[in-house]
Amino acid sequence: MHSAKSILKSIIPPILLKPFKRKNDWGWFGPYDTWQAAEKNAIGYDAEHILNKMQNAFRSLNKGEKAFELDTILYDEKKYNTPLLFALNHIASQTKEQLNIIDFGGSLGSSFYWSKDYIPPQFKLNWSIIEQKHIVKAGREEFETEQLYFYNTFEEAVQNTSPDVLLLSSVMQYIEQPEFIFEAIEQYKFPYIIIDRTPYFENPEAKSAITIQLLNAHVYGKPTTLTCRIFSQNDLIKQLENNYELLIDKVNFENLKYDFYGEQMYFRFLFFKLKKS
Amino acid sequence: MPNRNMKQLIKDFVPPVVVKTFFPKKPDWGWFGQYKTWEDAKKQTQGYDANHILEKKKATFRKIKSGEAVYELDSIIYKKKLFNTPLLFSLSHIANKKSGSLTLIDFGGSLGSSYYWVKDFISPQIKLDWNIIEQSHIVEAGKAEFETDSLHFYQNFESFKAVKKADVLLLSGVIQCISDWQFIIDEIKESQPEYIIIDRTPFFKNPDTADSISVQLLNASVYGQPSSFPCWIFNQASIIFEIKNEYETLVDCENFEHLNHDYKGGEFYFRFLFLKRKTNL
Repeated sequence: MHSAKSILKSIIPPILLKPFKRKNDWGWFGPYDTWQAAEKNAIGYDAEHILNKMQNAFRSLNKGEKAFELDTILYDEKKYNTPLLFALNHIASQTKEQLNIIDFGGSLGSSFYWSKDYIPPQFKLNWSIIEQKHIVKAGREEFETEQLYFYNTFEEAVQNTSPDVLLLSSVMQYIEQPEFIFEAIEQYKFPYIIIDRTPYFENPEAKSAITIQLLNAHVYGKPTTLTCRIFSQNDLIKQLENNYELLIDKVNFENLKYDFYGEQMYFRFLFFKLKKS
Repeated sequence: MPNRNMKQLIKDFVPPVVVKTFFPKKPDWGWFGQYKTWEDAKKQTQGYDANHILEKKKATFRKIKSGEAVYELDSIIYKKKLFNTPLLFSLSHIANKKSGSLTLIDFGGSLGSSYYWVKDFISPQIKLDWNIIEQSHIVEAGKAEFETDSLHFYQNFESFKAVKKADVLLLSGVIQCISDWQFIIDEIKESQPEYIIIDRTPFFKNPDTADSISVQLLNASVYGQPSSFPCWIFNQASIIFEIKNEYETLVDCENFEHLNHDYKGGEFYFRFLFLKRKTNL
């Protein structure tokens, strides 16, 4: 049985239907010449509101009410970030007894909760999140465990541990000037680096773009925008390739793709190993 | 470019029903038909030339073994590696839990597709013992040319079990090709491997859709000539139904290729399952 709608769709020239296409309430818009120009056009976000949503999500995750959290949205069924799970098990196989992870921009522990049950128990897991002050404060008050810690800076986070891996999950695209991260990489010579959930253009000719990312109200309870960079194929890799070997390069676990005005973008997972000097 | 613009113009202005009528697409690959029995499906296939396929496989794996090519999938060579991270995770997870050696049966493992995908990612401290069980002409070719210290070939479960015991049973892209696959479940019940990995196996998205028998058509790029085979597409709870009390599911996700297909009998996807035998039985 064909519905009236599908019959109409098959006999009307597609171009006449274009004005009736629903406008997206999420996606990436732009590009803008500068980070500031994008920010001027953005409605921005309510940091306190987002923190509240985060806290509530992780509370119910801790209580076991829900099985999985992603971008503060809760799910009844687990999803499996197998590239990340593989990378962490691979690193664990190279270390002796501990696995020390620095998770820059790790929220209240998204990647931690995805991974913790899949690290064999003989490894002492030490997961250090570096976040903005208000998240660190909330984390320390309520979410720290024997495995999970919160810090304001790289200096604080590496003080008591020798890190095995730097995890950058869904964070590089939101930083206007990421130089300080490369400086930290230079200084601490992390044995491994994981870049996860980061948008890249598929076309190797495409240049990086500064955009506004619109999240629909489903994510943070009200429409929210973030200034977001979409990287060109070799971005971030070229800053690391002198000192690091690229072990894995693939689409992220969600297989997320998006058409940015005719230019296909996808979310990427990159796993680097420090070259032996 | 002009061609592309013209194509877009036609797409914009011509009603889709006209395009469909005058330019019907004939797919040269996919899954077709719903058959009552495996024999009915088999009658609809054009068959395949086992010898030709074996020669293609041998040529491919020679290049993989020598390092001349970096990646193989379904006997096709790729310039870039693809990463089967669900499989890589499972095996590194098992290796981290064990010490010393890791013995695996790769049932229907061809000349070593999965083996070559993972071997460089298993910690060198672990002695990997990879055992492929295959049809006799593949085993013969494997033994003659492709065996190594860690890669071995056997004709059946019995000849393997006479000499070794497996920690892991890997079933990658194989159950769907076997008319009566119940013997695999019987084998699991009998030998109770600690881990089972089911990879690259088609399941319906809708949990209410029953097992279905289709014909899978491969285009000529795979084996040099079009080939077709009967192929199961499974209900969500199928295959593992009889062992679900003995095994817990550690990972259940889409396979690494994120392959989805819209089939007459319903939408299906290729699934990855990582199972562990329960300890408190």
